[in-house]
Amino acid sequence: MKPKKQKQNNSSELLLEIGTEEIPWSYLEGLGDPERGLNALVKTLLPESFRDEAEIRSFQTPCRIVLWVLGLPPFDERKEEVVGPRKEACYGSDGKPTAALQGFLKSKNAAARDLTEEKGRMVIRRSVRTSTETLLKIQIQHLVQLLSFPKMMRWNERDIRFPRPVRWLLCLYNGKVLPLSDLPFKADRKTFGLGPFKKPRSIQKPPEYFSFLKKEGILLEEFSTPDGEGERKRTIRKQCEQLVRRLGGDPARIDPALLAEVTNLVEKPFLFAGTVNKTYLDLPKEVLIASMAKYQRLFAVEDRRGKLLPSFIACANGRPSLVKIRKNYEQVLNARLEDAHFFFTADMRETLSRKRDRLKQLIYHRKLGTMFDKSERMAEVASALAGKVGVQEFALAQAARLAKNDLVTAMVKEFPSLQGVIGYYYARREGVSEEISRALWEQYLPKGTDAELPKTALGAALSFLEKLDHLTGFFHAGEVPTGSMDPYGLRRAANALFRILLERKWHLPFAELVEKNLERFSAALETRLKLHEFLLERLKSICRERGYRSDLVEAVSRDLRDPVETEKKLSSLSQMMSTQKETFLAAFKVVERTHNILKPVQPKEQQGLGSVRPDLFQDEIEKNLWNLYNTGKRPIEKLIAESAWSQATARYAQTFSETLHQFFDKVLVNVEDPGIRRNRLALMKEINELYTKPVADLSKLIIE
Amino acid sequence: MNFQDLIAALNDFWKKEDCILLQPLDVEMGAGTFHPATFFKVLGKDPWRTAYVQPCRRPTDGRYGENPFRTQHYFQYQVILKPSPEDVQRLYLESLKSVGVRLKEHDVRFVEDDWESPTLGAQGLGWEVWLDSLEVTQFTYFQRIAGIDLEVIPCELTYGLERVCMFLQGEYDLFKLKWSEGTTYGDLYRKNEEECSRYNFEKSDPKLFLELFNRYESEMKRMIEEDLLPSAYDFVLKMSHVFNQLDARGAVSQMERPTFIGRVRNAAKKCAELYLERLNETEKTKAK
Repeated sequence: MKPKKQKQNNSSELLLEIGTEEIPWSYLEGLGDPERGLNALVKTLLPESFRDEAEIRSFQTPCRIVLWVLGLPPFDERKEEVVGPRKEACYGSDGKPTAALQGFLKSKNAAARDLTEEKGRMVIRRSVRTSTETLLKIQIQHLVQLLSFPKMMRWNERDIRFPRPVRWLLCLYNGKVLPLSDLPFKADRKTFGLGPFKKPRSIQKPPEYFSFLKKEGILLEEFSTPDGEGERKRTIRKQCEQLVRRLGGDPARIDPALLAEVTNLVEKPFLFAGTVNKTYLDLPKEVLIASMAKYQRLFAVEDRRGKLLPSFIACANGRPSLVKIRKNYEQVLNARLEDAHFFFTADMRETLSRKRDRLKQLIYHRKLGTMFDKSERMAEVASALAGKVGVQEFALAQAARLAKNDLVTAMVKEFPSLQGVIGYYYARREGVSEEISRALWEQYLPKGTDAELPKTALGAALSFLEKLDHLTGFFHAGEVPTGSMDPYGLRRAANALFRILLERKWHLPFAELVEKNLERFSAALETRLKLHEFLLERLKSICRERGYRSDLVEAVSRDLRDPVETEKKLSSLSQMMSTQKETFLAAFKVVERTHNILKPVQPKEQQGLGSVRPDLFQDEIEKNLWNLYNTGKRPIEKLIAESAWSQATARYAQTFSETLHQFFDKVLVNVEDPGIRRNRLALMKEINELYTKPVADLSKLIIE
Repeated sequence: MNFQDLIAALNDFWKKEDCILLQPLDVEMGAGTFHPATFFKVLGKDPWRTAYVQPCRRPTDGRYGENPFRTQHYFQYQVILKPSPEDVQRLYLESLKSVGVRLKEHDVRFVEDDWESPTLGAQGLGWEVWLDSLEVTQFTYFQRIAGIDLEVIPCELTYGLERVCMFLQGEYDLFKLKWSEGTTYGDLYRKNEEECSRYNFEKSDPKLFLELFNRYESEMKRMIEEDLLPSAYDFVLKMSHVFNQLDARGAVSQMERPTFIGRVRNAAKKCAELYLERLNETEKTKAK
């Protein structure tokens, strides 16, 4: 381990190792978080003047959290300014310092030479030096106390909670042990080697520490490396890839989540391959993979086409005897797969379709009935959806009625992550069509922000129904996401819903479908409004993620009537903004000016402006504008009806731009005469809404 | 090492670590934690070290004696070290060594597994310990029992005796394990597994168990009133077991489940409170 930057000679370094019993793997992952992780915390604990100078590096194994800071200046210098009492109160008539001044100086530990006078008050102004050693003593104690994890425990040490017991603390500052008296455990220069019986070793300087670990075969995983992996993960990944290749498998199919987990379960990785007993290979592939990963954290080996090969790869810890552990790993796997086989046989005693009745026992949510009720609701809405998205109503309804049946299988109870997958296999086995079976699987897709979408139309439709029911149901039940809390994954469901809709380009009366779903629960008006607002917000966020300017998104996405059309509109207008900039700006100006003149008018008053009365026109330009409106309206509306968004915008600009500006130059809208004023405002409103209502309220745009 | 020798070896080891060697409780239970020597003795400040075998019953885990790994009846070896010593991990590893595990040749791992028992209102942090990917022990630092935060943190080591024995014998079918020379685990328990599985899953009378659950609960309450703690606690254990029987029969709907569990937990809590009350009184008298 070498410092990355060349350091000055007088700079100093800190080495801290918190030695623990095995910390949960995911907590270690959390410590690497760029915003809330270890490095970020260390940065906030160091004085500002150190932040550019010091090189902060941190590492982990399941039993160590290591911090190495290089290039620390010897002290921190800080300007201090404390405003004290008024000058009159500080000095007596004889010019001598009063008790008040003395008290002030004493309380701040300052001397008379630090004083200056400012605006009639005495002020302490000085620079304060703190040695880095003193500073670190305090801040390291804070660090240990501030590190936060999802779950912390007590273990009979006073005042400290940590995810697992801390068993040693190595803390060296320039080779000297830093005493940390506020912590319940004593800092020392001892570290410990590889388990199971870890031997102590006394360390003088950081290089010795790193070479000792290396000799022990302990690989540190560094946080925040540029390529996102440290030495341990890289080693494991490479060895794993090598073994997979040797077995004729495809290294691209190594599960990255399992790799991350396995990395944090060992200090000294020891990879090897073993054999899967062929008798179990007739179990669904996903069951084998899940079983291997869940109980023994084994990597399955698949070839390029995704066929499972009868091998596994394991990552053990330490330097065990390969012959012995391989046999044991294989035997344990056999026993586990025997259990999976038992579940499979048990599930086969009754068809998937016949399991439906047992869904009545499975509560979905106490206010939303059982899983049986849920699948019924999905089947009912299926008829409203099917025709609009080009799938057979019969097929969608059947898929909806089968959708949740696998939840009562022994297999899904054992491997909850396989919901849908099991449904697929079992449905296929009893002769349900590939299309419907596939939909059972795909109803749970996409599983994350960028995750794969359903590939089939029926799967997409079922997933859509599933999420729609989830959203409307949970809003009805009052389980609405707040702040960062979203325990029922409603944001995720809404995002998935819109992604499916937009990718599939389904022109749907979306708002109507939502309403129809809410009717099933006879939801209150307030619920409907809340859900509507929530969904609109999600739609906007999806549009922003797809790269549209946020002000344009605001201007365009104002309802949920047809999200696909909303996106089409966004796409046309975005394009126009770059390729037909002037025309677009002209349209923008028309909207902006009419909007601005109407802005001071209360919404209620705007409603009552009534229609334009040509008999009240006073000026030629007013008449012209009105004529333009009457002749231009039809063609613009026609383009809108054809969803020709950019043409409609161009037409709108051409129609009004010139004359409207003339109008504003010559005519005063807000005249004394209320009748004339009303009439002019009504004209402005007509022109504005001709475009903004059906297309976009461009007044929301922020254009320099 | 034979099954019976394994028990003797563990007893030998833990006896030397000042554990009192106790016997199992003669009431059905799902885990060694339910034994009064754990449930009550981890409360309060007094140090306590014990080790004992506890037969466990988990009706839903029955596999008709056809599965090499799961049974509805098995044996736990339970160790309680209160307060948890600083070198408890080393002690535990020494115990494995003492029964013949050559640690250096194998892959020993402590894999996160935070243990919880909703029926006991108990919660702890720790691991499942793996030997070459076989889970052999549950290792837990108790944090609370019966909903009460513990004053002194004890460590609970729960060895799955069959699992440790599997590892030692290199035999991963538990029914083929040698219990003693010439007798297998299967000779002693396979028939039992088959018949109990049939009873638990097919033949038991849910009506009877439902009635028993209610009556055990009232009896527990009456015994608390009478200030007879061991009897009250016996009925808590019986409630828990009867609930498990109902569960195995599929007679507990998902909706009712939390209610049943809550009733057992409340019963356990009443007993724990009575125990603590007595403990405080004893301390007061001592102080005088």
